[in-house]
Amino acid sequence: MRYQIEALEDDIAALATPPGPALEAVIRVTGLSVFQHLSKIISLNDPNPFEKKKGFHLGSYQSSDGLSFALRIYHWRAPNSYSGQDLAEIHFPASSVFSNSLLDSLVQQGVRLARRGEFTLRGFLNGKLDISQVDAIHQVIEATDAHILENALSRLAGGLLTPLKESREDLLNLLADVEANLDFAHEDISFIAEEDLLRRITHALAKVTLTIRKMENRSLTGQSPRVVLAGPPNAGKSTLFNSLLGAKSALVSPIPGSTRDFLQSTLVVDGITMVLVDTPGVESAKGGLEKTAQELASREWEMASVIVFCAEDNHQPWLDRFSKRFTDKVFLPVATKSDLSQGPPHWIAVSSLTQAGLGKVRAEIVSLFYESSNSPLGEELEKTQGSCKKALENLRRAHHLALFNEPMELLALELREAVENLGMVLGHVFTDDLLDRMFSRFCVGK
Amino acid sequence: MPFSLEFEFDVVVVGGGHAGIEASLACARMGCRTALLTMSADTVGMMSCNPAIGGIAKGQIVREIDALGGEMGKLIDATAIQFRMLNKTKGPAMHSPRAQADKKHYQTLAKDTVERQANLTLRQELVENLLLEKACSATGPGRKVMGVICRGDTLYRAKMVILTTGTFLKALMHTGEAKTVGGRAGDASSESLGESLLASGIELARFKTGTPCRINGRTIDFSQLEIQPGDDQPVPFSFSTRKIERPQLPCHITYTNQQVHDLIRANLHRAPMYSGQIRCQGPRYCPSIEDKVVRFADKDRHQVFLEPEGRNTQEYYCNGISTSLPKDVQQKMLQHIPGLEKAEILRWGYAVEYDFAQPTQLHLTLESKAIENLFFAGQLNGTTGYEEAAAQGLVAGVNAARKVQGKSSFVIERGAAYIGVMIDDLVTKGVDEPYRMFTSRAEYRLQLRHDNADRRLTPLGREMGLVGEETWSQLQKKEYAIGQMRSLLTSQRSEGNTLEQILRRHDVNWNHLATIAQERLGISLDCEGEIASQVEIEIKYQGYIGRQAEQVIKFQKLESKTIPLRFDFEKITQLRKEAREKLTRVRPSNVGQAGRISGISPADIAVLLLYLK
Repeated sequence: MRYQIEALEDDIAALATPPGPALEAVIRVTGLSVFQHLSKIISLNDPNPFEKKKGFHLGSYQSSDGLSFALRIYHWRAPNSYSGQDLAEIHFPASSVFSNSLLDSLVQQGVRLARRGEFTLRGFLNGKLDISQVDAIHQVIEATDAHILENALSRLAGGLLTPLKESREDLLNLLADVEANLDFAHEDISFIAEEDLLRRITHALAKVTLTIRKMENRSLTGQSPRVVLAGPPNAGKSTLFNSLLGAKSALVSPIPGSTRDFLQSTLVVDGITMVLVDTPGVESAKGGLEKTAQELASREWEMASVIVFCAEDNHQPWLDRFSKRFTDKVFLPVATKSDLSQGPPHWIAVSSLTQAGLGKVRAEIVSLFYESSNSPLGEELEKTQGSCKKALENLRRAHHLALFNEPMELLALELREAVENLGMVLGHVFTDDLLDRMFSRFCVGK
Repeated sequence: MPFSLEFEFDVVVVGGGHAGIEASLACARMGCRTALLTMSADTVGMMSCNPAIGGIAKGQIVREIDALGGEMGKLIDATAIQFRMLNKTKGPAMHSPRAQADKKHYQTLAKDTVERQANLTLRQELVENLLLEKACSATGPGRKVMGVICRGDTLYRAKMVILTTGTFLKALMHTGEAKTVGGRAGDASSESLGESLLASGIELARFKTGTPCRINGRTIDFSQLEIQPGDDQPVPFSFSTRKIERPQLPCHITYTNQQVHDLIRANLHRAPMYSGQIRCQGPRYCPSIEDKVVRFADKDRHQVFLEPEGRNTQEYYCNGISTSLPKDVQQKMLQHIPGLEKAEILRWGYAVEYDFAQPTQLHLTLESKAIENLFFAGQLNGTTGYEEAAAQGLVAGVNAARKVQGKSSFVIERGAAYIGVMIDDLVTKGVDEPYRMFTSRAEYRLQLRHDNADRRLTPLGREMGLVGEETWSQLQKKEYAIGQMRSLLTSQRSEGNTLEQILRRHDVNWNHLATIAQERLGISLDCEGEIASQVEIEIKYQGYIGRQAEQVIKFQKLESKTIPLRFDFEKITQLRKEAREKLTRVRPSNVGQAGRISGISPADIAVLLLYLK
């Protein structure tokens, strides 16, 4: 993230609700002098609206070209806001005309439009959020279906943080016991029994391992791109699906319309995990069964990061029609029955019989994935997982040291690093609180 | 204002305790005309509490003081009556030397050492005031100390002043309901100096500490008690002491019991800490017996160490039952303790409250931020322990002397010594209870061992001018021998493995290796014990020591990002208000130090780094 320090001081605004039909829309603004700007463009009933720490105000907006409507403003003064700076939300009737006019007025005041994730970044830099919360919010912003949203929300509420926090807490207590054993060796107290030490390390090891696994699963549903196969019936979609996976997952038959539901599976290419989805053929729906299947399919197409369009060479008009329906999607046209025909020049020719062209399809999917995933906060997730894995390494070594009865101070070093690594994820730093733990647990000292 | 008598010195040290001794010796040895002013010339180097030096983490500090050219290690080697290496069952980084001192002998030797030191004037004076002048310091307008004013209209002019007044500022002792003004039984309190500091803008706060009763050894029934002898082969504190030859005295151990605890519970309302008579914080790791009984009610006994106070006295120190309960309760308490049923108390236990100056008011050199040329060291900075005090005295002394001579400041890093850890902790985090060193405070403790203190710090002491020719050439010989031995072990092979690889094995120690080398290769690994142990430790723990060394390098990266002296944290509006306030108060000198201030988050540091670029 290459943000200049000036950029962190700028006043920024963004439409916080998705465009499209809704009752109400929200514009969020934050920065050093946003309240002044708001006072200039909006008339509020309260003469000194922004004096309190936070508040709610009724007011109205009138644009230079005569547009006028009522609105509500919620404000939070720094540092008690999401971004840690002065922040306000303008709630107004949802209308792109209204929101554009408001944003225009703000920009004229010197407010600039926010970059993606910028509110969250400020919140993070101002110590309002830890890395995993940042990542979860990122997923909420990005969420495209109910399942992902739910997942991300549970992370925000501590779904992942809770077990990691617990592990860190357990390890801190264990470390306090180990440290007490080192610093108060000559007290007539047994600080920690050998089997207890092993048991507690094993417990932490298991807990952190499970959390990492969960995290990986979540990133699968939350982050993985969806590669969706589409095309006219009997175009060889299911055959390609099986070929890409290297297994017979989809029911393959020469009769058009065999795929009535969609199948999905995990596809890993170059270490990137993707979801590969097979859908029924694109056709005009006739009966009830087909209609439902077609509805499900179009939902899949909506969610796709990449649509692999499977067809034969006489199918270019199909693709043209289809791509008009999904203008924001990336298409990868594949001539699936290349042993019969090569397809138009920019299509990739694939033969499921000879496996020819499959490698090219995989490579193409990966490069399209890289193009579509340049999110500014995505790297934070990697950092989070990286820190957890480092903690796991520390615990493995600690376990080994405990098993072989190696000097306790080496074990303490591993535990300390494990605690630090988990702290990175949770936004905690290692503190003197270790001594507090020692003193509250044991009667030490002469 | 004319004074009836005036003196002029380069450095004046106020207070003749363990901090004052090291501070004044360092200054004098570095060539400064130095005065050591003390309330009583009889109490120079007195051990007000426990008659012992060293212990876990503290022993390492004494070795560091010695390596830097300080005096404490030599004093205790010459006067100890018992030596023990603590934590011997653990790894080498945890080994900690401790010794019982002959209290009076230690004191007289300390006094004699100070008296014999050229450039150093020891004098009994009661310092009542600081002589200040307005000055323009690097951080803006401030004040500058010009000397100290003593009772009886006497002025000591000085370029630098070091305060090491211990517990003597506004000191008040408590034994039960009875209160006595004074910093130690039988001594006075310094009232006006504290006022003078307050008036000069130094913030003072209060701490409490305590001491147990002392008993007459003639009245102890030793036959019932567990005996604790010294080590068969005592390890000296000073790298210049070759061998300890004197016979050692044993300590004894007994225990409290339910009867004692019941008695204490029944009289809690008369304990000053519980009756509300004392309200300030005492050290948690050095709890009074009444504290132990209250906080750990489920423990049915507590250890009591009976430590002799010297060879020429019957006085015993009762380590483990520090108390400020009234005399009658102290007396009855002993009657229930095995071996002490008939013990006669020689001195009563008491608690003492005193003023200290929050050390966040100091630079890493221990010089005051508010008053130029004024240094603070020892218990006055909110620490406890003779070792902690002495180490600060040494650092303040070296810095004062270097400032007189116009040289750069002397700061020891956290990765280099426990002393560095302590001073950084004090100055950066401040204290909310009397500060004592623990190994767990040192994040790089695997490197900070007692056995390598000379290798870590003697070059630094030499550079400061505190290490003599003999010690220096001794260290160089040692380094050479270690180097020779290491290259021998990497070059010689047995059955395809180098001797170094063989030594790294779990089940092989130095003696095994020497046998293998002799029998299989006909090579003798004979060398001095300390050479062998250095080589063995380095090789056995190479992986971990290497990891710590890497951590130190990472740590140094942030340490080297300096923050300008006049840096205005208030102008970084992205910082949280709390962070701005804390940074402004502590004024860290680099980003690493800033990160260690409690309540400063990694996010704050990220913002700070953006600004400093």
